[in-house]
Amino acid sequence: MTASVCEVSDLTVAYHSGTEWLQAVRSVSFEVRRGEILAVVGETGSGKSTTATAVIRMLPANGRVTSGRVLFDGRDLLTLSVRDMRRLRGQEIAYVPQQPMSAFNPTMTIGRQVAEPLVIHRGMNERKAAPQAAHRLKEMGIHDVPRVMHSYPHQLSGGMLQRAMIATAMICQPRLLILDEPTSALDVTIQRQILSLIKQVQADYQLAVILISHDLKVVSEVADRILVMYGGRGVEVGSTPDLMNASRHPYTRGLLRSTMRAGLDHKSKLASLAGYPPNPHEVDKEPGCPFRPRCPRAVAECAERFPPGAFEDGHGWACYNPEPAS
Amino acid sequence: MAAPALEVHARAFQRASILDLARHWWPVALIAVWLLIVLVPGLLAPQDPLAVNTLNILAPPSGEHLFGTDHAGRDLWARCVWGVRYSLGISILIVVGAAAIGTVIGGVAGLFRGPVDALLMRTTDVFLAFPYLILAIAIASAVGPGLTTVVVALTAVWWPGYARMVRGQVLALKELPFVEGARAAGTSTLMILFRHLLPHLLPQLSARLSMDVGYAVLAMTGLSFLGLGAQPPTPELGTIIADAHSHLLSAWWYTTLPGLFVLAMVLSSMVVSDWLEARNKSQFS
Repeated sequence: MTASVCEVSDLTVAYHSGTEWLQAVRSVSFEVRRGEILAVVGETGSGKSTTATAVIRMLPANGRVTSGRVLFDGRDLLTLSVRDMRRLRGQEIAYVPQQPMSAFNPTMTIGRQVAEPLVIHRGMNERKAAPQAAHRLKEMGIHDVPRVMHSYPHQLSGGMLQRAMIATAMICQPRLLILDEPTSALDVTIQRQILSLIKQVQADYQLAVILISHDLKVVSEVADRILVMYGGRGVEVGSTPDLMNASRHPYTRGLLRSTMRAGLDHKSKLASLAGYPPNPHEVDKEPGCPFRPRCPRAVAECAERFPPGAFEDGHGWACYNPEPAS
Repeated sequence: MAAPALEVHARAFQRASILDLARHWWPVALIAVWLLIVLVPGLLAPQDPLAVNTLNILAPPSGEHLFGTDHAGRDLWARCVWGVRYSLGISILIVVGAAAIGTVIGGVAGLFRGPVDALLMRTTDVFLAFPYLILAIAIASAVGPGLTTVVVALTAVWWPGYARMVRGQVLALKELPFVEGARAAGTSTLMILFRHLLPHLLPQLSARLSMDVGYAVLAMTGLSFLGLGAQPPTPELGTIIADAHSHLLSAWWYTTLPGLFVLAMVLSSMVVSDWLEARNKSQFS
């Protein structure tokens, strides 16, 4: 197997809220290898975006990594100096924030913003960087590059901006690309296009990609492996086929059962997970499994301690009473 | 969400075209005329503002001397026009300098927060506590009166206002998503300030700047009138009026006409500032 580009181990992140510290991510571990797309899937508040921002050290001011390591090329990103970290951002590790519409500066043209990493990291002047920016935009499937280069963000569509966003991320040829909900703000047809673009870019450059999403079904089309998060914990990880067809954690099963699939007619009822997503103020104190209150297979042990991970051929799950292997 | 306002904002930058100038010709013309006087006063007043003619003192306005002459027989029109160069020109320098200092200090304070912010803003408060007149008197008593004294005293009391304004704006702006985007690209904090946030500050900065030029003209001529600023025979408007006030009853033009010049400068600055503010408002709402 190819070497891992980024290895996160035992990552715990807490936010200061009012008077107390709330743990948004608790002991999450995963790795991304070269030429692989790892999807991190979970509902709102599961800690998936927090995990991503912790990796590139861009947590909000009230957030702290309280334990864990993030190894990138064998170096722990969490102990790097601010300056070294800045050098990696945009150059070795690229991050595409949520909402392409507002992630561009409205007072600057797209061309200048796509070229910005070159100006910062390679010391180029804007005129010199422009042809490269144009080249990248073209590579991302934009046809009228000159117009887009001279456009301001409000003049372009969401899909166009997302392409430009990915062009910006790719301009210095990073080795790790982190995309936070790259398709959520887009409509369904554009979603498909952006996903296949991500897949293509990833294959062309043998990138390691971390793809954050709330939609298991959508990411399963491009991801090589999937990490499922719930209540700040990683509950199941495995290759896409393993997770889609042979998931062992009741939460993953529940998610899959509640998605649309072919063969459903108008009479069949879509299953839904009972209960509500966990309250961050309560799940934080939970010593056991955060999914226990909603779990159909909960046993007595679940309330006491978070289950240790069980592994089988790279497929791992954290559950005392997993679904039977099918 | 802040997005719609920002979209309009972006359009404002695009619209700054020749057409735009044609539609708003009069404030632009106003600025142009004053700048012309500041840059080439000789164009409007060919006479030497320093040429003394003791045979023709305190002559009333006439065809030969448009504004009459002063107590040394110097042409008052030439002195007033050259006075604009000193009063307005130096006021602009003071305000621009103060705005530059204030923008950097306020921007850094707003972006870094924490102890840096506290240190910078408390320093700002200390400067804000000084009345400029007292400061000018103190400096004048140390290094003697003169234009340098005025420039130092006014700049020192003028930048804190900009620092506060910019800090407030930066605090709001830095929460916008594109700042996160820039940071993810590896852009440093100072680069974010100058490259990404400065364009967003320009509308407010420009309106305040043009208004402050008027206030600076008043403060500067005031200091010179009191004898702390430009010294005779320098044709600075405050100095001219100070020279003239003993002839108030015998030569009305000597005080009135330079006074009107000061009034015109201050009024112009207010008018331009109002126009800029109205322009910003129509584009932000």
